[in-house]
Order: sequence, then structure tokens, then C-alpha cells
Amino acid sequence: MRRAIAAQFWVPLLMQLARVRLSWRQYLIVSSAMPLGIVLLLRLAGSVTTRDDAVQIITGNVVLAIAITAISMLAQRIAWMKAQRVFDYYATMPISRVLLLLAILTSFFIFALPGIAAILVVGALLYHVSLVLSWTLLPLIAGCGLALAGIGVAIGLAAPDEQLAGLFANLAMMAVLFLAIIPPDRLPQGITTIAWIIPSTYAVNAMRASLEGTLSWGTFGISLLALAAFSVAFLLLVRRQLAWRQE
Amino acid sequence: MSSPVYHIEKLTKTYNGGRIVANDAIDLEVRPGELFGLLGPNGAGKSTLVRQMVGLLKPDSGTILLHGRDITRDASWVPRIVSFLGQKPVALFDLTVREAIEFSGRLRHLSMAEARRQAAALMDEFVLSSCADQLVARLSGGEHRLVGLAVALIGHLPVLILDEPTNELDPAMRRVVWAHLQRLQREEGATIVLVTHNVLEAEQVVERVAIIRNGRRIALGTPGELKALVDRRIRLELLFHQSPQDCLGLLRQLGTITEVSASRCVLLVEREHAQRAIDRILAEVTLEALDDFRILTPSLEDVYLQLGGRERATALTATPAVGETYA
Repeated sequence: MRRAIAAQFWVPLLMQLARVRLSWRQYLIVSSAMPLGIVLLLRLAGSVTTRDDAVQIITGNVVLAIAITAISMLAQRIAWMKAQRVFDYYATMPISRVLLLLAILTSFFIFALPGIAAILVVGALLYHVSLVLSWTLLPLIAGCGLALAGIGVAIGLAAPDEQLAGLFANLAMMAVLFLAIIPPDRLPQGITTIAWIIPSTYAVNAMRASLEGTLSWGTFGISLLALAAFSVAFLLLVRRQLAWRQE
Repeated sequence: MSSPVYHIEKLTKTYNGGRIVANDAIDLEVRPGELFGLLGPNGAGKSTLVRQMVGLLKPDSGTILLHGRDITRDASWVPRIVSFLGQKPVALFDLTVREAIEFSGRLRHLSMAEARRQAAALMDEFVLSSCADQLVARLSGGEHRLVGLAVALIGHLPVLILDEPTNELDPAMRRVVWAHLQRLQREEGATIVLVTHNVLEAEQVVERVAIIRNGRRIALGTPGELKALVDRRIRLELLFHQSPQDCLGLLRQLGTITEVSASRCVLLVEREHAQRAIDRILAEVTLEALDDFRILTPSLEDVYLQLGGRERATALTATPAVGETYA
């Protein structure tokens, strides 16, 4: 049994990492350059005055770093795999689709982690805020990645080709970024409603509180529950829609 | 007889909303431990058929029973007993040859040590050891085939479905592959389904054959049974030192002359008269007058060409006239 799980998650993960071993620098740069750039941009624009705003921006960009791997990279990879009939290979192997998808996600997610660390350090320095680094950040980051991956997979499966998948993914990331950086009380009424159906909103609120050191067990628990619900929905989507059996 | 590995009934698959019928009510049975050949011209629907047999494609209607269990609804368990060689192994392009084969073994639940051992043996057999550490993407078309084959073979699953296993291979490697498959069948009792264009080679290994054309199964049987369906005349090829003109009178009495040139003559004779014809040629033309004298029974290729594969005739064979002259 242990060997079966190892085979179904660990081996596909190694196979995915083999792909990025040739281009890991590019992946690393892309996944951290954009969030770091936005942190810097907003600092230079000088629009941030309060500590709350600063932490909100740092948190928002942490979520962006996660979204780049879980939405953009994942959507494009899935679209590519679909177009190249890569799923044919995996579909003729005795493995679970869900574990395969988790392996692919993990292989990208590894690249989000250094980016997140860089954003926290650079953000704290630029805005002169001290951040609380608590263990609660880790499950929130992982949950956020898993929950957002649902959007990435859905785009990858629905898009007609890899390039369109990339474009749609950029749109989705725009939405995630927007909702993650602007504090909820400043959003127009209609958009607040949309915010609650996007998984990253739950992660942002809890992460911000965690970085400020004000995270209550209640908020932490509810946020994790919400992210878990989105993640389960994502895994069900994968089971149903990952069409490695063509009609 | 033991129950079939595959039992396929009225299998139908269409594309483009029913406008293209790729498989049209195909019935087929694959028996345990046999080497079964699927022959047919390009676009006949062979690949569509095998993709349904491995669960990559969902049929429109009909049933596919694998060991008595229907796989048209749930095919998730098929990879536990069936391995498949399909198109180029794009999924493995970023891996080295060694990794591609070993990882595939581990996906089939081999231990790391066992995967390593089997991969080494397969690389050795298919002459891939020298490129073991090269990326699959960088290999030639023939090498892709061999990697794909090794990937299909690692883990020793009881049923193998191979789509064009010898495409793009040089003659020496073709022979290695056929020998390997025959050994698997003989020693491990593997059931092997081959899709191939290469009728001449397939004839040496397959035990039963289905010929597919325009999505329909137009013939099914052993090569011998199929040959009996078509022209059964024996083909005599005579190569003369000098012009065959003097002998043509005699040869015309023995059968139908289909080709004649400055030094060569091809003759078709009825099976019942073959013995007498051969005796008379040996006695009256004599071997001294001949450079070469060949006696050929119809090949599976002749059957294929007559029944279905006419479009492929020129591409298939060095002596393209064979099928045509029978007609």
C-alpha cells in the first residue's frame, strides 16, 4: 500500500521535476519576479501609508506568487498535456488522476516557496514593518495553493490550446491579485460578493492576521475549512473532468 | 478452450457527430496467450480500435469485455493488466532513457531495485544502453519506438497491445523485437495484440489475424485460413541464363504466365497441378538453364492486398505486382 502511494505520487513528482530541471531558473524567476515587482511598484507609487495597508500588500503578493504556480503554470501545463496527448501515457498506467495532479501541482509549488520568502523579507524591509512568522502561515499557504489549483485545472481543461490557457489564466490571476491587495472594506458592494467565491480571499484574511500576529483560532479554523472545501471541490473536479478517456 | 482475454461485440465508434465511422460494428475475440495481428491500410480504424481496448477512448456503442468484465463504462482497472505502446512517448521526453523505463516500471508498482534490474535488461536487449543517459526528446524516431516498447514491456503485464511496434526500426532491430515478443508469448504466456502495416514480417509471428478496412472487420482467421479465402495458385518464378523464349510454349501449357522479361518468367499454376508442373520444368527446362527457381505459396500479404489493403500495395512490397496479377 505504501509502495502504491509512493509510486502514484512520488514517481510522477520526480517525472515532473525532471521537466523543470532544465529550466528551473526561469520558473524561479518568473514565479517571484512579478510579486516582488508589484511590492516594489506600490512602494514607489507611495500610496501606502498605514501598517495595515503594507501588510495587506505583502500578503496579497504572497497570494499572487501562489496563484502564478497554481493557476498560470498549472493551466498551461494541463493544456499542453492535453494537446500533446501526454495523459495517454498516464492513463495507461495504474495510477490515480488525483495523485498525478497533486504531483504536478507540487512540482510547481516548490517554486512558489522561495518567491514567498523573498516577498516577506523584501516587503518587510521596504515598508519598515515587522512581520510575525508563525507556523499558521504554512497550512494557509498550502491550502491556498490547493484551492486555487482548481481554477488552474479548470482553465487548462477548458481552454482550446496552451496559449489561450495562458491568457485566461492571466485574467484569473488579475482577479485574484485585485481582490487580494485591495482591503475588502474598500471594494464596491458587488465585488465583495465575488470575493467570497474566490478561494484566495479566505487565505488572504487569515494570512494577514497571521503576519500581524492577530490571528484567532476561530478565523484560522474557518479559513482552513473554507480552503479545504474549495480543495475538495477541486479534487472532485479533477476526478470527473480530467478526461484522459476521450469521448 | 479457456475464456477469451478480449471479447468485442458490435463495437462502433464515430467521429464528428457520426459523420466519420471509424469502427463499424466490429466483432473480435482475442484468446489467452495468442499473438494476434490487426492489419489494414492507413485510416482503416485500427488505432481507434486498440485505443478503445486499452480504455483511452470511449466507444459509441457495443461491448468490450476484458476477462469477462465490461470496460466500456469503467476502464480504470485496465492498466493493471494491459500495457500499451501508442504514439511517440511525449510524456517521457524530459526524462533520460533510463529514467523513462525505470519510472514506468515503478508506476506499475515495481520496487526500485526490480525496476532498475528490468530496465537494464530491456536497454541491453534493445541496444539502448549506450544512450541510457540521453534525454528521450533527443533520440531518433526508431529509438523513440524502442523506448516506447521497453516502457510497455517493463513490469511484464499479461496483455500487451502494441500499435506499430516495428515502425521506423532498422531490419536488425525489427528482428530483435519480433523475437522478443515471441519469447514473451512462449515463455510467459503473454497475450499480444499487434497493429501493423508490415504484413510480411507479421506473417512470421502472428497466429491469428483480423483485417480491418473502412472501419469494418473484413477478414478473421489464421494466416492459413485467410490464404485459403483468396487465390490459392502457386507462384513459380524462373530466372533464366538466357532468354526464356524457347520455353514459353511449355510454360503456357502449365499455367498462366503473368510476367515475362529478357531473363525472367513468372507463372501461376493451380495447386493440384503444381507437382506435375514442377516436375516438367525440372525435366524439360532443366536446372542447368536456370539461375534461380522459386516456388511460392500465397503470402499473407497477398491476402491483405486482395481483401483490403490495395491502397498500400506499392508502399508495402518490393514486388508490387503480386497482388495485382492475382486479381
